[in-house]
Amino acid sequence: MAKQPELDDPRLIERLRDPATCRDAMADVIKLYSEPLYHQIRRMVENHDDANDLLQNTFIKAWTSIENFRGDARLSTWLYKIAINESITFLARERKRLNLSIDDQESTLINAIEADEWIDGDELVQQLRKAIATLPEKQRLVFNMRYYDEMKYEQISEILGTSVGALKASYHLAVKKIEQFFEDND
Amino acid sequence: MKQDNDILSRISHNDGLRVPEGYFEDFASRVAASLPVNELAEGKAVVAPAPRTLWMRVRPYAYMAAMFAGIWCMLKMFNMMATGDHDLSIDHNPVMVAALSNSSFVNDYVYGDIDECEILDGMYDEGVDFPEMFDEASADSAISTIDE
Repeated sequence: MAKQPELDDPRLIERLRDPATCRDAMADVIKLYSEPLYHQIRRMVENHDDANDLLQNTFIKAWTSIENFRGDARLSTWLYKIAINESITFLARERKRLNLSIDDQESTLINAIEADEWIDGDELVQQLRKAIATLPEKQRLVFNMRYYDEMKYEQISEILGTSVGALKASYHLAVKKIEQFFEDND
Repeated sequence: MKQDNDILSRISHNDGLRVPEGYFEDFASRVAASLPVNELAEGKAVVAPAPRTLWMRVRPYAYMAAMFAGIWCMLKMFNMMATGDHDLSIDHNPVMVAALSNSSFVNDYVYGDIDECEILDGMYDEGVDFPEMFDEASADSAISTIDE
């Protein structure tokens, strides 16, 4: 699992803001961030093909609104915001398209996990994915970013626009529910 | 909480998600090549809009003035019709009176559209006696003219 790039390279941001170099810089951004963003998206939608489409949309949206990117914000924060927004919009659209409730969508995600052929890892890893699929969207996001990407609460707070205290509470609740899931499925 | 951590400590922080071989390399080159032209970011020449002419600037105000003038005329007309201050009948319109007094104007423009057969039919239905109006020869001549 690729973690997010350690630093937002200031030279990369500088190149992004320069009309002469912004296209090449965007190509570097795609190389640098496609893997962490892919994992973030796929853990939400639980399907490789959907994750592929949403990742592409994320970079296209980032590129078409690059002039709105303020250098004072972190590049990774901005990209994660777009990717998460794409994922949540996609899930909501799917619920509407298939006329699913949130509970129905939880079952759909679990079925997708069971049918997923692009997976490595043992039974526990699979069980954890299913447990995460039972969480509300916001808790899933917080848990994924904290547990898998090992992000600091401050950065998660910047991405999701939620206070650090609320994020800690959300993560704690997510862990409790995951524990309950494992107990119930023992 | 301790038990939670026990469970999670037994599970890898690797999410186990796999992708096809060479996926990220291929993805990066494919998406980078398909990025659309971003004129704002890339500083491409943007076609300057044509300068606004005087008429283009004045046009909205002219249209608005015409609209208000139209509404004013309409209200004025309604007011005249409602109050009866001005007699709008033909009898009090000197231009119309003069026109209708001119027999050639009436023949050309008022009676011009009336079918003469219909006039004769109407007169016949009303019991007008043709011999009283014309002598027989002129009546035959009139009918033969209509037939032609």
